[in-house]
Formats: sequence, C-alpha cells, structure tokens
Amino acid sequence: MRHDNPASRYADRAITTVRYRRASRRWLLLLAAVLLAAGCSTRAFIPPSESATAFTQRAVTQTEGGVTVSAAVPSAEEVKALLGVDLYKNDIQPVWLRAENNSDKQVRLALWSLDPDYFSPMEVAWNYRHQFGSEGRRDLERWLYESQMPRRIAPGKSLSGFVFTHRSDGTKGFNVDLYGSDRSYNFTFFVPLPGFRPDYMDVSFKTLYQPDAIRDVDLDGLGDLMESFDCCSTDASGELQGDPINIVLVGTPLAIRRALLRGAWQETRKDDPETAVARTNYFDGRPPDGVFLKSRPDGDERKQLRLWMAPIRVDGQPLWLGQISYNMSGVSWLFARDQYKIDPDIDDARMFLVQNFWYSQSLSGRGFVAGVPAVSIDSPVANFEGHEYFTDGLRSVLVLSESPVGLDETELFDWGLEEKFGVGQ
Amino acid sequence: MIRSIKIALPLTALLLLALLSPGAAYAADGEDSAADVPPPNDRTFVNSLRDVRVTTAVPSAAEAERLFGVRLYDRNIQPVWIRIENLGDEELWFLPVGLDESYFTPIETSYRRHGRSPILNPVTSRDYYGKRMRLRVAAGSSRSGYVFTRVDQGTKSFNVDIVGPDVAYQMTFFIPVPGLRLDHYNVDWKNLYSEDELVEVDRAGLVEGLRSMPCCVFDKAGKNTGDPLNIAVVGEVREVYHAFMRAGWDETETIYAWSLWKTMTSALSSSEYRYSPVSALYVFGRAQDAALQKARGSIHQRNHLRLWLTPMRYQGKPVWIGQISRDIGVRFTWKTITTHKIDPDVDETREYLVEDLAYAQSLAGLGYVDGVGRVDFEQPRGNLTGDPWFSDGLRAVLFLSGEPSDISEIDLIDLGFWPETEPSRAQQ
Repeated sequence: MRHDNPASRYADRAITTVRYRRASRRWLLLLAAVLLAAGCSTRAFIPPSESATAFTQRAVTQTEGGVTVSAAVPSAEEVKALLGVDLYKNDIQPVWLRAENNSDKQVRLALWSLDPDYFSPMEVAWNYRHQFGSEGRRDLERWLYESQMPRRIAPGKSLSGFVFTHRSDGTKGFNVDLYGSDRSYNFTFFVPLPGFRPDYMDVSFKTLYQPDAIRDVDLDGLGDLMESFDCCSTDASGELQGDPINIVLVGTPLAIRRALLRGAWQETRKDDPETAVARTNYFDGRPPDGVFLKSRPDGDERKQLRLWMAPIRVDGQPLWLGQISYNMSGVSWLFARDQYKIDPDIDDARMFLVQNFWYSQSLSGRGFVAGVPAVSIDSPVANFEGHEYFTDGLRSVLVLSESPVGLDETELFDWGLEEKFGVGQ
Repeated sequence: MIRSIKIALPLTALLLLALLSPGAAYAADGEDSAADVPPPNDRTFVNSLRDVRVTTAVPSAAEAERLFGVRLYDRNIQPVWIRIENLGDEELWFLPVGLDESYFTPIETSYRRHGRSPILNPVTSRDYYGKRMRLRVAAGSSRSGYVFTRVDQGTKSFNVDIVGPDVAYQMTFFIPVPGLRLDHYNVDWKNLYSEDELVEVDRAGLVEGLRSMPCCVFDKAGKNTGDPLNIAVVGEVREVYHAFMRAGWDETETIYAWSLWKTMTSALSSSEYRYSPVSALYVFGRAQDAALQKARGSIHQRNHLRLWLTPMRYQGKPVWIGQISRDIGVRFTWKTITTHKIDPDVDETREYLVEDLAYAQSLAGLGYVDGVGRVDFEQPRGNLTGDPWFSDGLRAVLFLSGEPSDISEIDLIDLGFWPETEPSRAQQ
C-alpha cells in the first residue's frame, strides 16, 4: 500500500485500530465461550439408572477351579446411556467384570492382565472434567472410583466393577488373571460387541464347497498338494495375478479366531473402506472370507492378512489359504492413506505371522511347503495393483491350537525345504 | 496382551536336548561368510546358554549414522547387532519379535531413510536387506546382522529368544547406549553412607525402619510435605534398574540446558521425550537418588517414580524408600508454569506398579507396611504443587529380582499389614 499523504496514513492506522478492537472483541467472546465450556459448566452428573446396566445381561461366564468370572462390554451407545459421556471417543472402553471367589483363599485380580496400559478411574474422570460443574465433576469421580473393579476378593465373596481399557473395534479379546497364594486362575475372554459384524460372519462356510469337492490329506501329503496348488490370488476377472498365497493355516474355525484375537489382529467389516483394496484379491472366484489388520503402535503402518477357506482338509481339520503384506504409509500424514506402499519383502511379513502365533501361544506346528515361484530382490515381480514383491518361494504351514501352547512346545516339521530354498537366509 | 510366556524352559530344554535325533543337522560349513556382518563397535556383550552363544552390540546415534550414512535415530530406528553361534546339532530359529514386537523391516528402514519417497525400489534397499539378521541358524554355524528396532536411549534392554525342536533359549541383555546424561551416573552410590551409618536389619528391623520413615517427600527447605512415600524396594542398584527396565521403565536425564529444552518442546508438541528430567523432591535432606518414568500415551500420561537409598540393608541388599505417581494430565501453576496433574488415588498407582513388575518377572516378593497414615477420599491432602491425594496409608515393599522370576511364584511376605480386601470406598 502506498502512503502519498499523511491523511491516508492516519486513515490506515485508524482502520488498523478498528481491526485490533474487533479482533480483541472476538477474542473476548471466544474467551467467554471457552470459560463457559470449561470452568463454568453447571451440568450435574446423573448416576446411571437400573436399565442402563442391561448390557451386563450379555455377560460371558467362565469357571476355573473355585473361581468364576463374568465379563461384558458395553457398546459406545450403552456407555453414553450409562455415564452421559462418550468414553469411546477418547479410545476408552470399559469392561464390566464380576468375580466370584468360591476357593478358600483370598485371590487378587490383576487389572494389568486385561490391558497393561489401562486407565485409572480418576484418569477417566479427568478427561471429562470440562463437561460438568464442580459438583457434577465430583459426583462423576466418585461414581467411577466406587464402580471400579476391586482387586482383592475374599473367600466366599462376589465383587463386580469396571476396568477401563483401550478401545478395540470388533470382538474384544482380553485375559483375566487372578492369583491365590498357591495357584493362579487364567481366563481368556472374547466378547462380541453389538452393532459390529465382522466380514467372516457373512460367509456360509458349511456350504462353501460340496462334500465331494473336498480333498482329504494328512500333514505328510500336504507338501505335494501345495506345490502344485495356485501360486497366487487373482483380480476379479481371474486373469491378472495378485500376491502369492504364502500362508497355509490348519485348524478349526475356533482355533483360527482365537489365534488371531490372541495375536491382537483386528477384525474388519465387509464394507470397511480401509480394506476395499484387499478385497480386490480373489481366490476360487471370491474375495477373501476374512480380512484382518494389525497396526503398529506408533504409526499408520500395518500388517494385512487375507484368508480363504480351501476345499482341503488336513487330518480332518480345515485348511485356510492366506496372504500377508505389510502396508507402509506414504510420504506425509496427508497422503498416508492413499500413498501407502507394500513392503516388497513379503517373506518378512510371513515370518512375522509365524512369530506372532508363536508368541501368542497358538502355534502347535510349523513347517514350510513350496508352490510360489522364487523371485529375487534384483528382479522383483509386480502384482495386478503394480506393487512389487520378491520371495524365497515358500509358504508357511501353521497348525493352530485352540488351547495355549508353550514357546518350546511347537513342533517343527522337517520337510527338507528350508536349506534348498534358503528360507530365513 | 496374552499370558506371559513360560520361562521355566531350561529344565525341559536340558531333558529334550538329550533326546535329539542325530543326523538332522544340515551341512552348512563354508557358506556362512555371506551372512556375517561385523559388529558396529567393541562394546559387545556375550551370553551363553548351553549350545548357544549370543553376542550383541548397539551402535549409538553417531555410530549408526556413520554405519548407514543417515540419522536413523531421528527416524526412531535403532539397529541392534546380533551374532548367534549354534554349537549344537539342531537347526535353530531366532525370533526378532521377542526383541521388539514392532521392529522395522530392512526395506521399511530404507524407505524411511529416503523420507518415504513415492518411489519404492527394492534394489536400492539391498544394503539394508543384506545387513539384516538371518532368522535361521543351521547346526554348527553362526549368523550375524542387524535387527532394526525402535529407539531406546540410555540403556537398551531386550530379549533374544531362540527356538529349536522342543527347546527355547531366552536371554536378556542390558546395553548402555552413549548419548544421554543419565541422572544415576551422577550418584556416588558407594559414598552415600559411611560404613558406620549402614545398618543390617532383620525382618522386624526392616518393618520398624520402614514404618518410621517420613510419611511424604519434602520440599528443598524441608518445611512442606508432598506426595506420600508409598513404596519401598529391596535390591542392588543394578537389580533395581534391570527390574524396572524389563518392565519398560526409562531412565531420566539430568537437568541441563539441552534436556530442559527437549522437555519443553515435547510438552508443547505433545511428542514423546521419554527421558525428560524430573523435578527434585527431598527425603533425608537430599533430592532423589534415582528417578524412572514410564511413558504411556503422550508426555501427559506417564508414571513417575523416585527412589532414595536408606542406610538399611536387608539380607545384604540395599533398602530404598520411594514414591510413585501417575500423571493424568497437564495443569498450569504459577510455581512451575506447567506441572502434571497426578492421579489422587495413589494406592491405585501403587497396585499398578506391583502388577507391572510382576508381569515383567521382576518381582520375587511382596509385603506391606504402614507409615503414610490414612487419608480419606473425602479429606484429601495436597502435594507440593497442590494436587490432592488420598490413601489407605500403606507402603508396598517390593523385593526385586535380578533374574526373571515367575509371576505365580511371588513370595507373599507377611510384614504385619495387608490392604483391605475391599478398598475403603467413599461413604455410600
């Protein structure tokens, strides 16, 4: 702006002053709004009514020795009805527990076993301090404090309360460990959440294949069968080749589900946009029966597992074909979702899954079979989406168990391919 | 999130080693040179267990930059060098997930190094790929290479897990990483007390000694009291640090200009500075001898722990008195500009610590004494920055173990006090 005469300069200054005044007035208004929202709220906390605890009717109950534990997880809506605040929005998911001690010793329930980073009741209250008046805030604090799950349960007593865990979508899987003076009681719970329907619920596994189309093999026959089996998924048209099928799971549907939940894999919905690309991979004319995700704790990167039930039974148990890839996020948060990259080292992702099942104590047997053409890092191959990969050419066979298996109890099948294909080298 | 892995393996392993079938070994002699990556420095640590010898080393930020040509630490990547020598006659598998569940793949490391450029070419990642640690170690051979982990400053503590047919080897390493000025390096542990000040106590003496400790921490002048001294620890200096590190606790840096700057910027941006110095609180007329912290979500959500060495020794081991608090948010005060709001339910935090150490297999024994004095929910006391707290008045006495100790074998030691089965609730 040019200042040809003093008057216009004054005029400029006057305009600036007015702007400042307007700005400061706006600030005052904003400040008042903030104060109103923050300190001056007079909202009261209304303790939950009887009907708001109806979700406890859904409780899943398990007994071990003289100790019985029931668990229920309220949905986001049910939590709002209970407390008048949205805990799910802050990634807090309450788990309701009841523990009945019919042993003759006091037991201690380790809240840590449900979630090592659980939220304390007072911490939950602190998150919502601005939403209530001082009276309401105190009432919320007191209610949360009094409604927490007690740790110590005397013989003959039955106590209940909440543990505030980190939110997970889909079925909620968690442990509950209790310790008496001379023994421990270990429970694993999988509690379905109302309103969430994982993709595999829409697959009718019983009618997927005609009984005479199913081939029966034993573990020793698996190597030959898999060597000549489809190497890869295809696109919907069946013409273009997708990623290699490098995972072979053997186990009951229950064992598979438990292993995935224990390994902290997240179930997905069929219409989940995050899995839309994954569902463009086809086997036997259909998209995956189940897509599972496992995110890094410190970023957007995640492993993606796609599973199909195969027309094969191994020693009477169903066989599941799988693909695993590691999706790395893009150059910035802005493009992170669109510009993700697949780690071309798909063998690393494969070995990650092996270890994931090993550490979550689901792995009763492990071996390697052939069937994917080996591809060197120097001349990677692209799938139909244009993502490149390389591989030693083996598929991991993972036999999964419904009950926990110790780290040294996994059977290592020796089918003689490790050295030949240089797996793990 | 699932049960702690069984550690009682050595016996089974010994038994099963005797049953190994001969002839299953692969001949891999002479082919190992391709997978032999030299160590990054001479600060190597060796651990042997029966037929396995493991050597590890951790390059500092500067060494990692020299090795890989980029500042990997700035991208939260810390290479850990490992060599596994398999002296037995069965093939063994190394499990990097046991070292860091969220390790970075070699190609991801290269991808992050290139600033996540839109072009991902596996061939340019060859260097990282070639230096990776191999997972399979054939009988009679050795393998070495890098696992790309998330950064731990100060001391890197990690497990090396190796499995074979019916056998599992588990080792824990604690490796100092140069680069931080850690507060416990400044303490002259040997001369904190003179020989005639030290007292060896029996169990009754321990209980009496701990009960008669001050209820709470003091300010520098020794006039005002603050947070309750609600924990006591029995263990050697090294045992204490290793026990807490196994549970994921971090050391703290001493207060100096650079560390304060890092703290301030991390508080403003909500980013993580896991080793931020903690303010001084006083017992025995001196600031804490050791401070540890455990990050949870952001800098506002972390647990702080301070320990002071007492002149007591129990069964030859030093006895410490301490205080733990859980930060639940940040609050502005005139005294320190920003300070952290602590969870007023300090007993909850104390019990969290008991479980945290138990699940890390760091706790050999547990007991309780009084000495804080009961403070009711309805009439809380205030700490030095004005945060309220209430308590059942007990101190947890934690007997730490240098070696992993099974959670179901924790010795419950009766010191005359136990928390009530149903914690005191507010009226109604």
